[in-house]
Amino acid sequence: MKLPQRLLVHALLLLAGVAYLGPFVWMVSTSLKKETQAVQMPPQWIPHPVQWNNYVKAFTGNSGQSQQLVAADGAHRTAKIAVNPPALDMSLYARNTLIIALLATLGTVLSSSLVAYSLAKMEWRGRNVVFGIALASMMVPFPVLMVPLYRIFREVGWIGTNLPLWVPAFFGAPFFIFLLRQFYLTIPKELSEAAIMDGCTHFGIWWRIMLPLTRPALAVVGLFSFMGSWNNFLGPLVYLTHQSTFTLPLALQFYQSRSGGTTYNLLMAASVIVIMPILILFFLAQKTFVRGIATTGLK
Amino acid sequence: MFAKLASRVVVALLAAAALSLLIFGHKPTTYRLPNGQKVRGRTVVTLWVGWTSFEAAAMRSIVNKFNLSQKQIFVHMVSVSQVDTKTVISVAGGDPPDITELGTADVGAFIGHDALTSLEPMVGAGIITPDTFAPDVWKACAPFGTLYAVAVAANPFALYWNKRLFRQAGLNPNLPPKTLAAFDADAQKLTIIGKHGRLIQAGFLPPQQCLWGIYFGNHLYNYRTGNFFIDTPQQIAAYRWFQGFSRRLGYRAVTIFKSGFGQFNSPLNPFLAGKVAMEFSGPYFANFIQRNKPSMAGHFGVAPFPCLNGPPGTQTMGDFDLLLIPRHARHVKAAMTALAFFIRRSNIEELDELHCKPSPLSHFSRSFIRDNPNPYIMVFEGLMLHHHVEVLPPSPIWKRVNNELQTMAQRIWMGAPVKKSLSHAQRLVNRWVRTNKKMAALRAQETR
Repeated sequence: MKLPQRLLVHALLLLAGVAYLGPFVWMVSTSLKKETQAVQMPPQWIPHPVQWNNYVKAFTGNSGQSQQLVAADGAHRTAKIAVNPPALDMSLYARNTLIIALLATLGTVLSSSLVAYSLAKMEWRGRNVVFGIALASMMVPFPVLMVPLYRIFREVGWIGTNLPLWVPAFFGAPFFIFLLRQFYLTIPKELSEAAIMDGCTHFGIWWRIMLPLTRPALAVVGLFSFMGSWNNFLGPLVYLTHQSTFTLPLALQFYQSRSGGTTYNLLMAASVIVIMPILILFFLAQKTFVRGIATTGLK
Repeated sequence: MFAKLASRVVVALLAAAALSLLIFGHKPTTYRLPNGQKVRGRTVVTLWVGWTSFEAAAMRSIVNKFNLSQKQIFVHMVSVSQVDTKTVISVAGGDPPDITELGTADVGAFIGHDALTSLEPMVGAGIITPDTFAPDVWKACAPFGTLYAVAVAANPFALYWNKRLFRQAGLNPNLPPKTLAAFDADAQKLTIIGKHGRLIQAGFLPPQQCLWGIYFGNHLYNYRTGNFFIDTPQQIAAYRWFQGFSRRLGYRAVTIFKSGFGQFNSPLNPFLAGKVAMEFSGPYFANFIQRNKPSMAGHFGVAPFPCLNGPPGTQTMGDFDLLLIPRHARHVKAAMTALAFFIRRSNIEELDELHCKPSPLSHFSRSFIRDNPNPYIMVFEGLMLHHHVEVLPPSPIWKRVNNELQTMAQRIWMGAPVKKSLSHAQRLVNRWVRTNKKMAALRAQETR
């Protein structure tokens, strides 16, 4: 590629990068502003003065939504009873989210890789039909399944607990099964045949040969599963019935009110806190993750 | 040997998961009173509310009072923003809360699917009578004669006007329009059109909603038959008036003008940004003004919206925050005891004062008006007590009808013939109503 062409490509990529980065920069910038600056127009991109305190407030769960209006004559009127919302226990919500995300990830990785191994490397009658059914189940949107699942979880007494949010992960996730099956298919048959000759069981092959070889793909599955679970809003909304079991995505709603507006600066600070673990995880696993995406053909 | 090790690792992982199930998989069952005392031996009533933040804190204050006053019952309140979704799934899934909070638009669908518990025992015990509430609130709570809900807050709609822009246009900033003709004339005076027909400031841009007919004397819904009145002469007049704004200002010019508007909850809200001089909204809008543009305090006014027949506010649209007991709730009697406590005047006033909304009750105290942070609370109370507040139809198919009416309004705004559009919508909705009646009859037959 000639230099001008290369420059053009780089300029376009840079532009696209800025466009993608914009909302993130706005989020971080707003998280460091005063409430009045957060909604200022035109937006002030560099906060001044920097309000680090927003992070303390967000983490200690001060949603900042006390209620106070200014009367028509300009005089402040305040309600006779203070209604500062009670502090939110963000560390508790973070702990709840982490437990659910870790268990769901563990379950997804273990079960999906086992099922995928069976579908890709073991000869058994009807495996293609089972695979087809697994794929078909991906086409059913979650809202359709919500009520039947709710009924099942009610029958086993799990409503109000976090069990519906991670136990199903131990029964495989169709998309990840598909992803890993495709990956296993690329591994030469001879490897497992040699292992069988040496007396290795299928379980041993899966553990000793397949899992080390599919580490990048497992990283992708693990990261996607963790992210999905960490950011899940609908599941916790439906199944959790005690504030003490709430997760971070549910906790973010406390920075908004139905008819009193949103404290954007604190909401953004809380959002930064919420996405930070995902960001850190991504940067730590970036190499493996990119390799996994490249090798599984995931777009 | 390795396979043995592998299976041990997997077994260990699964054992860890099973252990987690034991440790983390339990339902919290310990409840505490606001004073820290553990709750023992009481019936626990679950209450789900859609209010969050300061609104939830206001309700929690009432709940705390109830819990401290009780020896038999404990109300466990959960605040979640999408309470309607949560309630629908839990009701369909057979594990609903004891009390839930919904808007008037949701009630019809719940009643239509027999998903609510009648509150008639409260009427029988004299706890609630039609006189408990302001005139039109009862209709929202008992739309078909049976009481299914209690209202705890009200949102009647009114006209907000920007006094600065009125002054600039040579209008009296303290004199809002009292008739629709005066309203149109003021809107025109407040409109500024620049070069090439570019809209710089609009007097009023009517929201594309389905209840404009109310201000022209139409009643959209027949509570007895379940039919909708969409193509009545009043509706035709209302939507001709509505379309007039698009015609006068130019559909294209308005579209370009609107593209510069920000979110409702932001300083780019057209009313707050001074781009639109008059706005149609509920009492909560004062909260948004304070949050997003405090400098507007004292520079905006609120008055009843003008009507074609009669003085302003003769008829207006409104919505109520309702508390209901879903069908199959576990503790109906205890839930009713809690509801009876919540609708005491002192408690409703405390809640609504903190929400900056008018009370849904037929009587209010002087201190409620004096201490209410909403500077125009009296205007909204006036609407509640002395005018006709039309609520969203409690029809089981309302959401579907509403979508069609919104589409219809959009088509009319874009220049479609009013009469034809209304007739088309009427025919479509009539068909849905008929189908719904058949379905309801079938359901009734099945139940029998």
